[in-house]
Order: sequence, then C-alpha cells, then structure tokens
Amino acid sequence: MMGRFIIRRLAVGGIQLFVLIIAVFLLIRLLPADPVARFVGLNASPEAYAAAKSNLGLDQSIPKQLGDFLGVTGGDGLLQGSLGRSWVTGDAVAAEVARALPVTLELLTYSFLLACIIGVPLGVLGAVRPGGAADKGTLVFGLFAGSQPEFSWAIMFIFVFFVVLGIAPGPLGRLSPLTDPPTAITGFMTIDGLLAGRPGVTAEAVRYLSLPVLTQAFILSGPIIKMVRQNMAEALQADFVLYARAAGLPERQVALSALHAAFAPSMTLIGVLYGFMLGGAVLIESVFSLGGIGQYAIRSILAFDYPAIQGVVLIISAISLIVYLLIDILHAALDPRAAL
Amino acid sequence: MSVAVHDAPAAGDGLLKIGAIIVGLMTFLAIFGPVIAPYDPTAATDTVSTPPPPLIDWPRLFIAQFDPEIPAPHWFGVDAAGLDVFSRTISAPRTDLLIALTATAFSFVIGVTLGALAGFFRHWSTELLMRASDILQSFPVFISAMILVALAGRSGVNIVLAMTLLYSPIFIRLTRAEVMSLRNRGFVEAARATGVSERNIVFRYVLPNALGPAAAQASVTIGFAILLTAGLSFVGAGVRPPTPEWGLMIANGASQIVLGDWWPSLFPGAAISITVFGFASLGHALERRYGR
Amino acid sequence: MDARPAIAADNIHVAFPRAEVLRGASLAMPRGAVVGLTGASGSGKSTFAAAMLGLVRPPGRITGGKVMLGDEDLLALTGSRLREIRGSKISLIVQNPRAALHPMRTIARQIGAVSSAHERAAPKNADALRRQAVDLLELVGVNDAARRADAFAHELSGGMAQRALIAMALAAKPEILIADEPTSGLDVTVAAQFLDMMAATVKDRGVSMLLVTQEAGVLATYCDFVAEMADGRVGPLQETTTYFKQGASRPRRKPPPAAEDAEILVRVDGLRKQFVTRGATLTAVNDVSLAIRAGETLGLVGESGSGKTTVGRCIVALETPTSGEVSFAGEPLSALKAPDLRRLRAKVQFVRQDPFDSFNPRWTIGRSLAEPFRIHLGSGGEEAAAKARDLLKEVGCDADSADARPRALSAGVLQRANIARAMATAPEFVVLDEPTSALAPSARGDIIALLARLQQTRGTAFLFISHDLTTIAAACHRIAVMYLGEIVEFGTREQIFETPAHPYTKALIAAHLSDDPGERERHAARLRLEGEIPSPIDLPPGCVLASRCPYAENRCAKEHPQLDAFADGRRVRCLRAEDINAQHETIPTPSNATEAQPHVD
Repeated sequence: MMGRFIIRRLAVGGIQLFVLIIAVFLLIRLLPADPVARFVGLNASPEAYAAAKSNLGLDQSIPKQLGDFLGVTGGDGLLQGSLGRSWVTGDAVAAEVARALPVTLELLTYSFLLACIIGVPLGVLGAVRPGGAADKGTLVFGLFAGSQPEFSWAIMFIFVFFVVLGIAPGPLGRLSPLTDPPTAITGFMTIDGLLAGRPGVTAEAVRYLSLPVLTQAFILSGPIIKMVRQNMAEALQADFVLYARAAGLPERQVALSALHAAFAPSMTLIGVLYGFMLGGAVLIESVFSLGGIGQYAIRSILAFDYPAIQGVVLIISAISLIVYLLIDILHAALDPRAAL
Repeated sequence: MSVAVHDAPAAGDGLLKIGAIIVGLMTFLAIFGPVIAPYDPTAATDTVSTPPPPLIDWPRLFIAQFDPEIPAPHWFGVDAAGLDVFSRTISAPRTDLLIALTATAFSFVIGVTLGALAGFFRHWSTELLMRASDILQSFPVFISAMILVALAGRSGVNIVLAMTLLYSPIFIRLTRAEVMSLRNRGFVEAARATGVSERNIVFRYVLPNALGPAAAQASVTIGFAILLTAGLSFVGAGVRPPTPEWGLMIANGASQIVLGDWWPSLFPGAAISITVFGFASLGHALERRYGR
Repeated sequence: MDARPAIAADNIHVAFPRAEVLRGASLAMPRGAVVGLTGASGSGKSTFAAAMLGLVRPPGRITGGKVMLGDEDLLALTGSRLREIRGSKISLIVQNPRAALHPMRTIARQIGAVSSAHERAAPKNADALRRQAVDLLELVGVNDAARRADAFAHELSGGMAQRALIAMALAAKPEILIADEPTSGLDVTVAAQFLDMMAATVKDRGVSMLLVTQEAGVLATYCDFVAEMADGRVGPLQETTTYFKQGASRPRRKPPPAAEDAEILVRVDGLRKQFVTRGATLTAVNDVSLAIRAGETLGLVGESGSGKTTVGRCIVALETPTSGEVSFAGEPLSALKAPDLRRLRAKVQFVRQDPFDSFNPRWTIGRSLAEPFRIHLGSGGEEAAAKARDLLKEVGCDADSADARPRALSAGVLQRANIARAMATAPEFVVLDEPTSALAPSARGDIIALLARLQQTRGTAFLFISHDLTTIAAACHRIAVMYLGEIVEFGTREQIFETPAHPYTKALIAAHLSDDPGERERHAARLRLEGEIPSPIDLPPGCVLASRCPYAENRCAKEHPQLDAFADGRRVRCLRAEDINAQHETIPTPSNATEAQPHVD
C-alpha cells in the first residue's frame, strides 16, 4: 500500500515536474531578453553575433533546442543526466548546482531548527491560554515576524552586530577569506569541518552562519508560530480535550494529548514551508554572500544564462516535490487516521 | 455553532485598528507623498552622507518649519548620492503600493472569477484550470518573478504582470473552495427550491458570501507583493533607479552600512516593515470577521 | 432519603465571542433521580451540561454563577481539588462519541488514564490497568472486548465508541452522571439497548443523572423530572407526567381525516439514486414507488441512512434520480425544461430540518420571505414585503420578526418562518424533511398543529419525513417505512402502529419510546435486531434485513422480496410476511432468552 502510494505520487510529481520544466524552457525563450547581446556586447559585428548565437545553440528551432535539452535528439541532455553547460562559466550546470545546493540546505536546516525551537513553544503557549497576554503577544509577534523584509533586517543585524558591536563576522561568505575550506563531503561546512578533523573550521562556519541563521529564523518563526498556534487551538477545542478534562485528567496530560494531536498537521505545514523556502532563501544568501542556490539563481537570471536558469528551477522544484512526499509519508506514519 | 480559532477579542479589534491606520497612512502617502516631500526625491541636495538630526531637536526643527525662509531639515538624513532619505521614503509608496495594489487587484478579479466558475461547474476545462493552477503554484515564487521581470524587461508593468500570474492561483483555489462549500449550504438549496434562477443564485447568494475570505486574503497578498517588489528591486531584477522605491533604497544603503551610515537603509526598511505588518494585521482582522 | 439536591447550578453565565449562550441558567438536581434536560437546538443544553463540571468549549468562557456540590462551589475551585472531583464524583458523556476519544491513542490507554488519575479506583501497573479496561468494556456490552480495547477511535462504530465512553465515565465510580445526548447518531434499536443499560446502572448505584435529549420518548420513559431550556435559561423542574400534560405542548394525537377520493398528485415510480464517491457506488435509494394524494399527509419513516431524505430531495428535483420517474399532476419531472421546472416550484416546495441553515444569514427574514412572491407572482418590493408580513402572521409569528436576521430568532419561530416561505406561493404539495427535529419537544406539537391547520385551509398535501414515530403518528394519514433505501412497509397510520407486519417495522415500533409517561411499562417487550446495519455501498443480494432479522430463513439472504400486497390492503416487503403475522404470537427474542439488561455491578 505504501509502495503503491509512493509510486503514484512520484509519477504524478514527475509529470508535474516535466510540464514545469518545459514551461520554463519555453517561457525564457519567448521573453524578449537577448542573451546573445549580453555576451558579445552591444557593439559586436553581425558576424560575431551570429557566431555567438550559434555557439549558444539559439539559432536552432525551439523544438530542436528542447529536444537537445531533454536528450532525446542524442547527445548530452536530461535523459543522459546532464543539465547542460553554463553560458557564463562553461562548467556543467549540474556540478555548479550540486555545489550550491548544500549551502542553502545548511542555512535552511539550521534556520528551521532555531525557528522551531523559538516558534513551537510560543505557538503552544499562545493557544493554551486563550485571551491571555501570551495569546495576544504571540499572535502579534507571529504576524509581525512573518511580514518582515529579511534583507532589510539582515543589513540591520550586520550593522549592529558587526559594525557597531564587532561580535559577528562580516558578510563575506561561509568562512573567512583567509581560511582554507575543507574537502566537501556533505557540502555542509559545519559537518565537513568535523569530518576533516578540523573543529576550528566548524566553529568558524558557525560564527559566519550566525547572522544569516538568526535573520532567517526570525522571519520563519512568524508563520511557524501562526501554524502551531492554530493547530494547537483547534486540538484544544476538540471534544476529546473537553472529555479528558471532564474525566479529571491532570492538565499537563491534557495539554500533551492535545499537542500529540496537533503534532502531525503542524509537522506537515512546517515541511511544506521548508519546501517553499528553497527558493525563498535567495535574499539572505545574497546579502551574506553565502553562495547557495538562491544566489546562483540570481546570477544566472541577471546574466541570462539559460541552462543555469533551467537547472536551478528544475532542481528546486524536484527537491520540493520530494520534501512534500516525505512529509506525507511521515504524516501517515504519525497519524493512525491518515489512510494512504 | 461553528467555532473558529479563537483570538482574544481585544487583540483582534486592536489589530483591525492598527492595520487600518497603517494602511490609511501609506495610501495617503502613495497619493500625496511626492507632493508633500520637502525635496525632489531624484535630485541631489547640497550635502552628502549626512545623518539625521537627533530626536530631541525634532520639535524645534518642526516649529522652525513654519518660517518659509528656512530650508527643510533632512529628517532622515542624506545618502551617499546626496538624495534626501525622507523625501525618498515617503515618495516610494507611490511605486511600491501602486504595484502591489494593482497586481493584487488583477489577481483578485481573475482568481475570484475563475475560482467561482471552477467551483460551480465540473467540466474538463475547470479541471484543466485547477491542474494549471497547481503547477503555477509550485513555481518558486521569488525566482519565477525574477525570471519574468529580468527577461521581459525591468519595469513596474512587468512586475505587476509577473505577480498577477503568480498570485492568481491562490485566489482561484480559495474562491473555488468557498463556492463549493457554499453550494451545498441549506439556504442556497432553499433558494433553488424556491425557484431562484441559477444565475441569481451565483450572484446574489453565493458570491457575496464567498468574497469574505478572498478579501481578507487580498490584504495579506498586498503585503507580500510589497515584499516581493522590494526584494526584486533589491537584487536588481525589479524597478529601475532612480525611481524612489524602498528595495532600491536599501540596496543602495547596503554598501554604505559598513561605513557606519545606517540611515539610508534603516528608514526604508522600517517603512516596509510597518507597511506589510499593517496589511497583514488588517487581513487577519478581516478574516476573523468575514471568514467562514 | 437526603432531601438536599445532588448538585445545584445557580445563575450560570457563559459567553462566547459573539453571543451570551447561558444567561443565568439554574437547576437543582434531586438526589438519585434522572432529570431530563431538553430544549430546541441552540438553546444551550450542551453548554449547560459541560458547565455543570465547570467546563466550557473554547472560545467560550464561564462568566458567572455557582455549581454547588455538597458544600463546594465547583466554579470556584481550581487545580487538584477540581480534578479530583471530576471523573470521580461527577462524570460527563458527550454527544459525538468518536470525537470525544483521542484520535491517536487506543481505548485501553484512555480508560486506563482515567483510572490512574483517580487513585481510589486504580491499580497501578500497566497490565492491571488494561485488564480493568477490558472488564469495563465487557460490562458495558462491547463484544470481543479484549480485541476492541486496542482499537483506535476511528476504527469503532458509533455504538461501540459510545460504550467506550461510558466505560471511561464509569471507571472511577461517580455519583453524578451528566449525559449529553448520548444516543444521537445511534441506530434506534442500539439506542434503546444503550439507554436501558444506562438507566439500570444508574438506578442500581443510586447515581443521579442529568440526561440531555430532544427525544420526547426518552424523556417520558427514562426521566423522573424534566426541565426545558430556552434562551439561555432553564425553565422550572417538573415531574415528567406534569410536563407532558402541559396545555399547548400536548401534541395532537391524530391528524384530521383527509378526503377519501382525492386524485393522485405526486407519483414516484421505481426511483433509484446512487452516489459515486471515490470509486465506490453508494445506493441511497433502491426502487422506491409511492403515490401521494391531494390534501393528505404521507409519512416517510426511517433511521439515518435509510434514504428517506434522498427520496424527498428527488421528489422536489433537488437531486436527479439515477433511474425511475417522479411525476407531478401527471407530468414527469424529467421532461421539464429549466424554465418549466422553475415554474413548478411555485407548486412544489421543500422545508428542511435546520431552520438556521435555511435562510441567507445576511438577509432579514422579511427579505428571504419576499423572494417567492418576487419570483413567482412578480410582486414589486413593497408589495412583496407586505405579503411577507401577512404570511408571518398567518403562521403565528410576530410581524416584526420580518426585520430580524436569522440568528436573532429562536429555532421555533424560525422554523415557522421556514414553513411560511414554503407556503408563500400556495403550493399544492410540500416536502418537509424532519421539520420538528431541531425543536424542543414542547414546541413540536405546535408545528404539527400549524401544518394540520394549513392543510385544512389550503388543501396542501405533505410528505412528512422523520425518524421520530411520535411526530409521524401525530401528523400522517398514511406511512411508508424505509430501511436501507427501500420501502419495507406501506400502510395507513392505524395499520402501521397497531399491527406492524414487517419485522423491521415491528422492531422500530417496539423500540419506540412513547411520549406518554404512562406507557412506560409497555416498553418492556422488545424485538431486538442484532448486529449492525450493512453498508449501502455493498448491498446484500437478498432481503436487506436478512442479516439482522430474527425471523430470517435461508432463502431470505438469497431472494430479494418485492413490495407485495398484504391482507388488509397495505404492502409489505417480506418473504415470510404471511407466516410471521399469521400466529399472533409474542415477539421472539433472538439470542438472549431473558430481558436481563447488561449493567455494571
């Protein structure tokens, strides 16, 4: 049953992904931007322009280009596991994405952890005493945090903690420019440092991640508080809570049982948020020069680097899909009511 | 009795008031901002990189303003290009809010119409619409907006179009769900049993009741649209300089932060902060009142 | 006998964000008695029941009052003392059993949690707790208790879940039991057994019980006293016999006779309605045929799931039949085009059960009532409004209620307005789907009287759909009994009630609780239907009742009976109809030889 469910979801997701990538492929070619001019410059001779155009493959018909990209016309395409080559660096897009992705994942994972540590208890607290100060306070804080421009706060944090107080490192990336990065095994700087036997690198990576994670966690705590509060409040309004109190069960037990019931739907929502944030960490990565997939996307888009753009969209969407599938499986495992 | 998620009633009303005040203020600035601004937001003044005057001086400076001979103070300071931060900050709503409101209005109209149709009629075309809407919703929002705007040309119009495309699915989905649940409500059926025509059922019974949640969502969406516009401009894929726009201002200010010049970034940042919070609060209060 | 009340609620106020639900509700419960609490939907009964334990469903808040248990005010207590009292001195049973159980924990764990919370009842280790839970489940009549104890709430049927709740409620041996509509949602025969078990337990242990219910029969049969709630307050406590003798509330016992030779107005032929959900086909209505004459009231009786509501909806064209035909005045509905259908709606109307759900919440009643005049008679705004007010007066409402919104009116008044709207275009035929079920028992008689009056003055025919035999008996000339989508018996009022022929009808009548307290003793003889109702997705090939019928033979499960003519002119769908009714014997009781009610020691 579980197997059939997974296969069905992967199949549906695969189709969605396919449609999506074709849509992006066509869309960027139909928009007026001219990547050729971007590369050869505006004063190029017609011959240079034509040569460049041919190099980029843009002189061929769109169906042919699509076929090449997918790998159905032979050669180096999606079916062969290749995402093409970046028009800016010439490197394989797949390799560049593979380098950039873990950076974002590292940022998001730590941010989510921190946001949950802050947000879940606040959400629960707000739900447990309706009408109280905690209720109003968490509601307002959640609304506020969720409406903030993260790039603005990032800059302000840099100003306060780096420029004024000097306790945080500057926005120079994941490590000090003077440090030699360890061999990338997981891509997570914090873990790779330990794996390479250089705990100092890990410590430094943590320091450099502190402001980005703080900023991102602050923003994320908004929706997390809102969702946990809502689920918890719904659970507390359920009849089984009323009934448990009527049976004289201790309040702590009652609250825990409500949390138990609210847990699965909350996990699901948080997971969905994670999938959503893959493309949403762009601005923080940009401010702190972390080099994650969001920053890669910005660079590629502004440079009109079509293969890179396609690669980024494809990878982000694919990973989101897998995250959603994992969440659903987790939900089914946690909640005996969820039939697959 | 249907029980919605509780909020302390006092908090709910408080949020409504705060939201309304903030939205009102920003709308006022959107209309009159550039008019009341003391300096031309796109022209350099005679100083450069000047911090704002200390707060204690403000009352004195304000009173001194009544003498037309005295030049206006730079309330929020001057940035590295010599532009008055205050004037730019209060002129920016005209750009940011206009874009956000227009985009949301378009998505609302398109989304509600299509959503209502999809809610009423089960047809292969509405099924297709929902599939397309799903796929559209699975696009990573910021990146897709960047692609659309950067490749179509950086302009306010393109930002509006991109956001309309990306935000319509939310309204489609929301309206469809509302309409589907309302169709089966007793009073709708009772109307049908009384002989009310289907057309009247849609327009007089269902839609008025379905628009509530959509309107609340609209307020929230305007807030997100402002964030998106500012974010796009910040990375260089949005509005073009020298249009006063909060995101652009923060981007300019970012390079000056390490020099200790905090004012070019703080004020536009705070403005976005407050504005989006205002829309979010208003949306929340509306949802409590008019949501199901 | 101790004359002090077991528990006394004094002037309780409960407020929700949009309304005050309890406005000074007071009730003193006599010791060792069963008190019935009744009232219309929305009158605050459930809120009051919970408030007796100092509980309220969020976002409500208790804003005033006292609940005196002995010398202690429960509403003033906090923390551990309150916790001790709840569950051990006073217990609560709620309406929707599956919702009251934790969705992710097994039953045994939940019962065990209650025991452990009140030490004096509890053995401490896990095995002993589980054994105790299993014992309790057996005592409340759960078959295969050891296996069921490990089930989750959504895996149990309604009846089982309710029994699990009782087990939890009784685990710590309380002195006072508050039961909030414990049998709503349960099948009639299961409900009857359940109430018997509860009543016996309560009497045995001298427990004082507050039984919240809207069923007149339950009040009359099980309660010593009755109090009726209205508008957030509790009316005076009366002896049951006194309550049922009250003037206007005395329900009319018999409908005025209908014209003998009226022509047939509505004809239903071979109606079948199926719904397709997630790949499974649910047959709600399976081959129903009937005829309704002008000026008569036909009753359609059945429990929830019998298909009666669907039949009603097909007749007024709110649903399209999968097959079969409905004709009005000789014209088949399927042949009508949309404009003709709309014109037909002036002659055929529909009244639904929940008056609050029947009106547009944003419009005043007057505006909703003016609609039919506007549409069918082309009346302008002023004229329609005036007619609406006249109509309200005709049904016994205050003309001023035309300016009120639905939420501001009580269920009784609103239901009258609902009927008024249906009568606006002077229809020849009206389908009423459970029109009195949402009302307090005392208000039901008035509605039935109103309908009778309308029938006399206007000659309207009614199809009266209900699960409540009392109202059916009071309102209908002829009656069709439905079970699992089929009509199993069809006859006059006298035939059905005095000499039921079909086993299901017999069981229904036997399980029916009369609303006359004097008839309590007759209630003892029972025909029990075993087992649970089969699923309408998987209809059995033979007789739909075969799996539960005490008279069933082998052929019953294989051959599908038709609705055949019976001796006295009625129709019965049973292969053994002649046999069963030939001997005027006592009703056989299937597995249990005696009438011993299961009860907790």
